[in-house]
Amino acid sequence: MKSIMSASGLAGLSRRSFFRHAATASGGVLLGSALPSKASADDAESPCGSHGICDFPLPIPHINTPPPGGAHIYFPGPVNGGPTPFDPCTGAPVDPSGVHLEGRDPSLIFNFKGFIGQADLCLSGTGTDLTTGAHAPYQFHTDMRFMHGVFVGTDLVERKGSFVFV
Amino acid sequence: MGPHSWDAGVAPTNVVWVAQVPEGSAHVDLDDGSASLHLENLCVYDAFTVANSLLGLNRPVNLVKGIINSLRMEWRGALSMDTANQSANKMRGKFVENTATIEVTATTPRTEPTALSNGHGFRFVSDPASTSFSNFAQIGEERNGAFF
Repeated sequence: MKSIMSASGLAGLSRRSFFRHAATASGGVLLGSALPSKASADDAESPCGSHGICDFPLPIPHINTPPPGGAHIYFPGPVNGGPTPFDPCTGAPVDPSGVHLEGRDPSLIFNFKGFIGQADLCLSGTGTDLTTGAHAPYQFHTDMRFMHGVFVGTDLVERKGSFVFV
Repeated sequence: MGPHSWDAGVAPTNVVWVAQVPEGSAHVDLDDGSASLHLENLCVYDAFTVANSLLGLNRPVNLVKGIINSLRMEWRGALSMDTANQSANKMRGKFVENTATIEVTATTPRTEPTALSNGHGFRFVSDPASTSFSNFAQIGEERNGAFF
């Protein structure tokens, strides 16, 4: 969730405008993903005991363009890869990277089976300085998603999980 | 108060801005075209700007702790349905485009001052969900990768 305007005139870059303006070029390397065989250990503890290292999901292969460091994500948009509506709070299409002939995968995680929800929203509210108590109206832009189902992580073990993209 | 950009950080596996949440946080009724997401006290980062969040080792300003105190999202009102079978993405599924609303409270506790923050701490309380504007929303059931 990214602030795009405050009463003070200080504006953060929205997620979309950052991608639009990022000029970093990429080698465009998409490493082939070897499909893991699906082990069956739904509730298995990770043997290394380090949550988030050995059992975390893998990203989808797609890397957005331009990729600031390589972001494995599609902007919001129809799964058929078609054009997206204009976003009035950022002044750009919801997907500024254009159409995708290969389609869009709304999930952030790979080797995943389950339900997803995705929303690109503008919202307003009040920001408060917790030291001075000063208030100001704020506008935010957000691309929020959830993924709920099963996934195969780095350890090739299949697990249930619910995730949010914030 | 300056800019704020809350996100879940980048995982060691390069999954971007994704956090695990308790099961039961999300509910989906694909036939009805509706879904909900309810969260409380989700620990995130405030990177202040998207650029600062994604610059990794080149990040000029350290991330600070952030909290999504409460989040309520609702998806409803099916506009269209679509199916996907994408060999390039190794993904297939069925999807419903609809509209969504959001109501959220998020906090960045007091911190040391940085180039992007006075360190005073910040809280954002959104206006009621009905005032949020949905640019694009969809729900779906999909399988990708090993499940394709």
